[in-house]
Parts: sequence; C-alpha cells; structure tokens
Amino acid sequence: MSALEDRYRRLLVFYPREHRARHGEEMVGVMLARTEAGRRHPDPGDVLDVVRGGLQIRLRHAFGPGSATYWRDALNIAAIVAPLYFLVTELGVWGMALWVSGALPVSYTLLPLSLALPQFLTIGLALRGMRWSAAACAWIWVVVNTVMSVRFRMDPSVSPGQSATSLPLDFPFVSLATAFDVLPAVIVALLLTLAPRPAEGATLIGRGKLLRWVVTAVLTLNVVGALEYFLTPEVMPDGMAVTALLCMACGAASRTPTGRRVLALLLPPLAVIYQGVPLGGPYDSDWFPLGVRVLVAAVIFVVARQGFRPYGSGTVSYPEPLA
Amino acid sequence: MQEPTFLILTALAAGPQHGYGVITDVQEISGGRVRLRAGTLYAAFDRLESEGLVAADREEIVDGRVRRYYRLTEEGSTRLATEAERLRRHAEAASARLRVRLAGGAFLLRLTGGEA
Repeated sequence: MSALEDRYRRLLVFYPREHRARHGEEMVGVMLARTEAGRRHPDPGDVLDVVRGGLQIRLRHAFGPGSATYWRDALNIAAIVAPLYFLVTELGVWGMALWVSGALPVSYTLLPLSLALPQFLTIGLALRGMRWSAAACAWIWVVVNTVMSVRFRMDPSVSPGQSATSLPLDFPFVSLATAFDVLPAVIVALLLTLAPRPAEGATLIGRGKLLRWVVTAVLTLNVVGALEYFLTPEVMPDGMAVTALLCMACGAASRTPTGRRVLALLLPPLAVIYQGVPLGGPYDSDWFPLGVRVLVAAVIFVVARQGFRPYGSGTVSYPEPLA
Repeated sequence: MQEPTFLILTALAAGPQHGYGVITDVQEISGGRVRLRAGTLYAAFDRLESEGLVAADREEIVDGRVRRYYRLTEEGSTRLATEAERLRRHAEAASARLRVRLAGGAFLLRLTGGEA
C-alpha cells in the first residue's frame, strides 16, 4: 500500500462504518484513479470533498427519512431507561443511607426511600403498556416534587438531613435550585409523554437484561458507597461509580444505531443535570484527578463499546440487534 | 434535481458503470464543466440508492480492488425522463422568448437606422 493510498484510506474515517465496509475500497480506487502520477499527498480539494461527503452521509443516515424508525425506537427506550437511571442513582445512595444512618431518626432514611415509590409506580405502568397513566403519574410527580422542593428550599428545617441555616433563601437561588431538583422528573415526564410505546423500549433491550442491569447497578453503587464511607469517612463520595456505570451503558449503547440515538436523547439533559461536570468530580479538583477520571471513564467506554468477547456477537464488528 | 444528480443519472442511462466511469462520463457530458470527486459521487450514490433510483449491478476485481457497477433502476429512469422533459420545456420557453427578443431587437434596429 502506497503512502498516498494510506492517506486516502484514513480519510474514510469520516464515513459510517457500514459505508466504509461497502464502498471504502471503491472510493480509494476512484481517488487514486483521479490522482496525477507522482503525487504523495491527497489533493486538498479531494480531502474537503471526501470529508463533506462523509458528513453528508452521516447526517442523512442520522436524520433522513430512513431514520424515523430508529428515532421512534430510541424514544421508546429512552422513556424507560431515563426513569430507571434516576431510580437506580437514588436507590444506590439511599440503600447505603439505611445501613449507615445508625442512631439517626428513621425519617432521614425512610422518607427519601418512600419517595421512590411514585417512580416505581411510573415505571411499572410504563412497562405494562399503560403509557398515558405512566405519563400522568410522572407529571403528578413533577408537581409534587416542585412543591416539596420549594418548601424545602424556602425552609430547609423541614427537609431531612438539612440544617436550618445551610441555604440562602433569595428568590433566584430558590428558583434555580428547584429547577435542578425537578429536572429529572420533568425529563421522565416529557419522555413518557412523547414516546409512542415505552413498553416496546424495554422489550427492545430485553426485560431480563434490563432487570439484571438495574439490580447490578444498585448493588454496585451501594457496595462502592459503603466502602467509600468506611475507608474514607471524611471524604465526600466523588460519584465515580455512577460515572463508571454510565460509561459502560453508553459504550454498550453506542454499538447500534438505535443505541446511539438513545444517547443523543439522554446525554444533553444528563449534562445539564450534572451541570457540566459529568464525571461526578468536585468543582475544585485539580487537573490530575480529573484527568485520571476522564481516562478511566474513556477506558470503560471503549471496553464496553468493543464488547467483552473477542469474537462472536455483541461487538462493534458484529453488533447484535437490540431486540 | 441538482445538476450533479441529473448528470450521474444521465451517465447511468446508457448502461451500468463503475464509479470512475461515471466521473469521466459526467465530465464528458458536461463538456468538462462538471468534474465530480469521490466524496460527492458516493454521497450521491448513497442517497440515490436509498431513494431507489440507482442500484448496484455487479462487482469485478480489477488490480486486486473491488470495482462495483451501478445501474439506473426503472424508477430512476422515470425520474430522469421527467426531469429531462421539464428541462426541455424550460429550455424551449427560454429559446422562444430569446427569439422574440432578438427579433424585436432587429426590428428596432431597422426602425432607428442602425443606431439602436
């Protein structure tokens, strides 16, 4: 392979994998045939044209007429995955809180845990195919959540675990804090309202697989939380376990066109919820720990994307269908 | 229909061709004015295949490299004929009006004794 051919071949990275597999050799052949003898580097016009062509194809595949089915499936999956994710992250903390609270009043742990019941109900209704009931339940939960949040923010003493002097009470702060409090509930309610058949989303992933992921994630978060608490009780948990699970799920989802659309739907609101610190690290952390977090997250994502088996289904080269 | 698309379909109307064949044919049809590059050509093939206007015909191995031939489908043929007819009508209308304009210009020229 000549250096020129190698350079042309590298340009094909801008094309979808399926397109590269089907047309890559042809395209390289055409580009070489158009090239005058003695040239060592691709013509800049060719480079621009190839990049533009790749982006056009990617955009058309992502949003063109043929992508409607993928987007519908992605919306159905997102409408199930989003409430499950928020439930898992809350149970992952509360389960450990039940254990370590010790002599604290029972309301510190039981009340937050009881707040998960509406989410269980919403997810249950969605899984049973009662889409509108699930959406109604989700919107009622948004209203309840808003009222509770405003009340707690205005008067922190009524909130379990909050000290009465811990928060400023000016209106902009309360509004912003409330908006962030209810944002997950709003996202869930919106997705359940817009998704045509959320129950189909669970079927596409596989209900058994979904249950295994949820149980594993809740157990992992609780075990990691407990370990963090006992090993370094003076240090706040940095949320790396959530990030690791999130990266693993993102890597697995990114193998399929539908999965990538689910990520496109869910990652922007998650980025807002995490306020631009998706890796769960503290704001004042310096670059080194943050760099390590990014590296670990990237490795987990890549491993999950490549699949855990060198051959067979479930890898990038042989993506298994979501169904 | 954009001009490159029209020219690609026109190139395939004569028979199945491979990618580089289409590029040279389009250049010839357009009198050297349109020189397609690989990115534009394969983005167009991708779109035209999904619209059912073009289909892969056969493959050959030349110098160890796959050479795929593309052909015009029935639907592609119909679309090309419709577009060609539309362009022909527009060209005729333009020619007719230009003839009138030129005739009017000549008449004015005669009226003013060659000083118009």
